[in-house]
Amino acid sequence: MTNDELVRKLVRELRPVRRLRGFEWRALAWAAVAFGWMAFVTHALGARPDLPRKLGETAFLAEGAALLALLVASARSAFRLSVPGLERAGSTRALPLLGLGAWMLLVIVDPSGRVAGSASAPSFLLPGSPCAWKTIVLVFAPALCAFFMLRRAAPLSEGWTGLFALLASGALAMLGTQVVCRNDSLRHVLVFHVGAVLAAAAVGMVAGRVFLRRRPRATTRGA
Amino acid sequence: MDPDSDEDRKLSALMRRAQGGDPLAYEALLVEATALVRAFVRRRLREVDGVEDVVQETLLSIHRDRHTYDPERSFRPWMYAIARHRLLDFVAKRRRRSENEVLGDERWEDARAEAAPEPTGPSLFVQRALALLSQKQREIIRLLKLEGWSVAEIAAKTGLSEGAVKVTAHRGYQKIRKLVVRPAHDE
Repeated sequence: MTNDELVRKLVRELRPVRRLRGFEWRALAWAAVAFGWMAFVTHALGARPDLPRKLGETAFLAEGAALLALLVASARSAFRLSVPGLERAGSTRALPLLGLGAWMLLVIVDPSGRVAGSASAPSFLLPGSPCAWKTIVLVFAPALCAFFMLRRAAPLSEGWTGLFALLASGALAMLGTQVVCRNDSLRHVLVFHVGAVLAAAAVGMVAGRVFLRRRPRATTRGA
Repeated sequence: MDPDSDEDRKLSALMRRAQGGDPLAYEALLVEATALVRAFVRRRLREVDGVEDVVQETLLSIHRDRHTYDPERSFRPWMYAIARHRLLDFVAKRRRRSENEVLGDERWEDARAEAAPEPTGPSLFVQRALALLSQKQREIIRLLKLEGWSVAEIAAKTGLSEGAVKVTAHRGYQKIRKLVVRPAHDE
């Protein structure tokens, strides 16, 4: 098929389209759905009994703020990357990664004085640890929603887009986990909170390459 | 007034109308886009044969993703981002194909080394198959497969890049395969 023939064919196929909303608007819409889900799940699971006391601790609030910043930066980047021409700004990739680094640093530096493993903490390596299931439940719906919305757009860097979508979902899940998980031991937080977010990001990169990839139909040039 | 931004405003206006379903605006846009994308790809791709493939892939992507264009933004960064990614896809696909071809060539050489006495010339079947190809494809496949030249030697002789030699040979193989296999499917 020659270029002229292809142009004529595309013109014949032309239909009016509904223009995609701006990436900021779509990121906000996603956040609204995701926070709704988080509120529902945390309400269903029940808040930790010492939540009022924890809300008075600077370290707890700082970790929450870092997660919120990570969530905002990642969601913004995922939706920005789904629009051709906007993906090249350096901050699109750098900001969420900086946010992730800042949150991990906050956990590792441990301003709350967490201990490596408290006697009352449940065995954190038991298979089916409740925290892992809570995290999966919290991540699943927002991640699904993000992928659905991103596929409506045109992500060109599918791996990065998927990574940031899951990073945002993971950060949201950790905000919810902060409310429901009473295990503050450092080992638990590193494995089931930080580890979960890193695993989500890795899954997002792979899933992005698989589910966000959209190729145009093959051309028949020369046929 | 900057002619580039004037041009961009024009393209943006055409795309806005195309999003609303105006075929005349869309045709004008695609014709302009074809020329711009071709120039963009030519500057980045040495292999002449691949330029039109990338242009067509880009046009198809523009068509499929036209709802993602926001007329408040410049048109060309949007279009070139799509073109750049289609170009990267093309280069990656070509690299994979070249790797497969090198492996295929090695297997061919192994099989040939194991074979009983070398034939003195191409069989009638091979001669007929080669006759189906363009002169360039025929010459490259003859040197590669019948005379045992390396890709580098052919590239030096013909003045083509090694990639272009591999791609030309690959297209020749495909053409032969298509022409040889088709009668069996038609039966």
